[in-house]
Amino acid sequence: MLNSRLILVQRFNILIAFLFLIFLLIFLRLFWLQIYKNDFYLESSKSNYERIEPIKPLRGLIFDRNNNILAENILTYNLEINIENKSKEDLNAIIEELSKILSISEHERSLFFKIRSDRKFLRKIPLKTNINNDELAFFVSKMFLFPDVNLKEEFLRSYKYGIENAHLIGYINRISKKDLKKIENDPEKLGNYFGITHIGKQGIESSFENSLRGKSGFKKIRVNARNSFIAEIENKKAFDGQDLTLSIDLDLQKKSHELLKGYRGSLIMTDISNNEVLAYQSNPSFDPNLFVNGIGFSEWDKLNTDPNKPMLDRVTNAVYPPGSTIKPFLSIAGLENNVINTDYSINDPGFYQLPKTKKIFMDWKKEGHGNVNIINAIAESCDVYFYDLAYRLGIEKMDKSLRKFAFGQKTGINLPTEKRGILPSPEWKLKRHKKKWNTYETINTSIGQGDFLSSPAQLVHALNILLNNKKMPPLNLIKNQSTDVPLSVEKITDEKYIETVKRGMQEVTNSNGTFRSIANNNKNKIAGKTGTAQVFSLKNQEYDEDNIADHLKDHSLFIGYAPYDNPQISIAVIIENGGHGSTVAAPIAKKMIDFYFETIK
Amino acid sequence: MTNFFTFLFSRTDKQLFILLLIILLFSLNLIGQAAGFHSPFFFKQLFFIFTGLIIFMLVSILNLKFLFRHSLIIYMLSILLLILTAVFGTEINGSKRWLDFGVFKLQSSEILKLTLPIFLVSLIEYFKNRSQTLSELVFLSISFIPFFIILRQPDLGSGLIILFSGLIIIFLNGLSLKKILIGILGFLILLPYAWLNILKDYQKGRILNLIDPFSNPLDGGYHAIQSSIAIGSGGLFGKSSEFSSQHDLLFLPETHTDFIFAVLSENYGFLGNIIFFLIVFLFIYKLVIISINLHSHSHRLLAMTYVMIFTICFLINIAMVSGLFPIVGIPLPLISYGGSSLFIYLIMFALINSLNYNKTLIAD
Repeated sequence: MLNSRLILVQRFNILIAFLFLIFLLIFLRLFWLQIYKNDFYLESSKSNYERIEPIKPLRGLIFDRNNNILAENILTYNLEINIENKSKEDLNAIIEELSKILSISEHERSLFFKIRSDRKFLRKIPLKTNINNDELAFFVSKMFLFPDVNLKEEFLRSYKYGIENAHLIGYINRISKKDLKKIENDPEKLGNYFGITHIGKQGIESSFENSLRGKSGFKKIRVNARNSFIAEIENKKAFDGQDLTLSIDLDLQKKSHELLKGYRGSLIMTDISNNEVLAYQSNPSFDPNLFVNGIGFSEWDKLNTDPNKPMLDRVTNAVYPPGSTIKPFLSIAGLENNVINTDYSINDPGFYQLPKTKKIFMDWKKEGHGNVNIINAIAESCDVYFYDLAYRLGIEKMDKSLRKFAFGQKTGINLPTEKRGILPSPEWKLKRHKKKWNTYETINTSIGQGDFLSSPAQLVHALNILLNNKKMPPLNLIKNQSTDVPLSVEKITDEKYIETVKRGMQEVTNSNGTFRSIANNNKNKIAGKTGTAQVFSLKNQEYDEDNIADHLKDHSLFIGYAPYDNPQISIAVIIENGGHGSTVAAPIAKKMIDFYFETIK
Repeated sequence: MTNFFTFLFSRTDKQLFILLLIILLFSLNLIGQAAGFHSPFFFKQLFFIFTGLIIFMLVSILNLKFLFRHSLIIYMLSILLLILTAVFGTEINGSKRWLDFGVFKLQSSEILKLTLPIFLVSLIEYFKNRSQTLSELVFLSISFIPFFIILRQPDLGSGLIILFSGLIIIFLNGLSLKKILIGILGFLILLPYAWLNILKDYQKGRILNLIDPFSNPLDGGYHAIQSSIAIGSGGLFGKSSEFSSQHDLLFLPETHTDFIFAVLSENYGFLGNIIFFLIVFLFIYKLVIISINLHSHSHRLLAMTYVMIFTICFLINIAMVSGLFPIVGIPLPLISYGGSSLFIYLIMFALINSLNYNKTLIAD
């Protein structure tokens, strides 16, 4: 009796001790959860009930100088389904019903379910984006049948006259992994992009991304476990992007696009007084609207493999030998170094023999220009005159003078990328090719050949420096923008040299000039300089324009300005493989300038 | 009337009763916080507690000899209830555990917690001068019958508790060390078989979720994660000052039933838990002292078994809510919402109370 009680109590105590050990374990667990890991679990409970929803800013609009809209945000509608408390079967049934009144592709359906499984905390998921007007109207009329389907407004970037402005405005496209890396490196910027899916990739859209984009806001809300809205905790409003007014004239864009049709080439027209760009055209072009909603692979492939390279911006991102368009600038070099003056003249027999050698350089005109001074030399584009000038000047002084016209340097235009080109010099050659300079290269450089490369933007920039006789601010695409750099008042050379060269350029369009075809039809007083740049040097072969492969034909160039007695606008045109400057590029420039004075001015 | 209450209270251990009342107040408060003080759950629980206390009083004056004498019938009736549940029971969440009486849903397996020990203890007298091994085998068989029926509902948690109460009686009654070892060995051998053939997929899932709840956060692991978050975010003092997001915002569902401990932890923090544990400790301590000091072997055995059932269920529930134990549907005794469980425990304590009062009267 006593024994059985002893055993019982003993056994009971064993059980109690065992349970006490379990209790200690539980106690430690609670200590771990509530004290040691408290911060972690507080955060977890917060992330349970706090949702941050972005408030997207509206991207800034882009206007031309006359307030014509070039890039806008158009209102589109997405169909989205409220998935709260719905099973996959429920959703499939809703989609099934929807597909009876509007088309829903298999892709859209699978994307919807992919988003649903990828992002568990979304309450509403888009099924169909940017639905067209017919579908919109049809859906609205049947909307009462679909209590869980909403129309969600979304602004879509749209480029009016996209093809005419493609290289200038660029486009926006979905933020890529590379972009994201860049954004993430800048934590301040990261918040500005909250909820934003697109970023400027090219042109103005890219270079003015920060001001066009604006700043995202956000809404912090409290939800319950069913993801239903409970309360708003915080609301930070978005700041819309700033609108941008370009110096560009839409009519000039349309005209230039029309004029370049059928050519590979580009055109840039500027206001001489302030370096503002009025027209900026590269051809062939593309439709930037294709990129906004994600370009399809086949379209992208087509654009990328097209031998005519429609994506290439030929105004600033392509460089060409400037050819004879360099001659006015070289003239300044000769004049200011006293190698030539207005009285100096030479006799041109049609070729030039490099002194102390047997090397012969031909003039483009086989029979020669006869007796030429500086004015005829520019007007008729006499090569021999400039061979002689360059030889006597020497490459060092030539380089120093041409540098003042910003050759081989960026124009500073407000676009994301720009090619620098090459102003060849002994120093450059040593650095680039580790070789010594040869005198014959000086001769090649004098007619803008050899290694000399410049973009059309650089040519027009150099021309504006020459016409203003002072350092110019960077080429500018924004209207009435005050530049930070104080405008230089220091003349770059003696005014009388400039006058001499301008007289020469005026003669280009006169009865003896290379562009004499407009001599009797020049009411807008165009002056300029033609250029023909060799793409391919023919050895011991006659250049026969009719019997040469298209891509080996010379590039046709023209730089010019008007009116010559009071210069207002300047222009540079290049037509790839277009042949003589006077036959293709110059007439296009003339039509542009005439259009400007007749229609715009 | 006054005399009647004086009569009732005179038969009740005052300290035990006060501790019991404090624990029931905890329950009311927590259910109010979990389900809302204006919710039907709160008022129903208030009613259950009130009714339960009356039952407590009535059972306290019951003549226990009657219970022991008719323990076989009581056991048979309990089994019959289980069978009736299997046939006519209400199915909730895929398991048939309740008998619906309109106003009241009875979880029939709860009854066995009460009646199986009474039946087993009443048999001890019969086996007093017979083979110990035979009695142990009989006890085991009697325990396995309700276990298998409950397992079919399916309700593994309650079934195991019932089985355990039988095993505890066998153990307390002096099971030899050799047999204990054989039993453990047999259990280990049967374990793989049970894993493969008895456990359902969702039950296995719950065990696996314990090891890594985040492996399956939206299905089985959801409760485990959310209740850990609720407990962990309570910190030292709890979140009662602001709002308790975990259950207010429904991230942890059904908090008024099985997961009510998470509400305690979230709202009152670690300190609240310590205070709660202290009160329950005192309560259990009181019960242990009473049990040990009972005068008859079978009475002691019965009281100790009830104390063990209460304590084990208490610990299992907290271990489960704090992520130490698989999620089995065992409510927190005396605290979780629900009438069946509350009544059964109150009857257990009333029986202990009665045994205590009558110990001088009912001599061996």
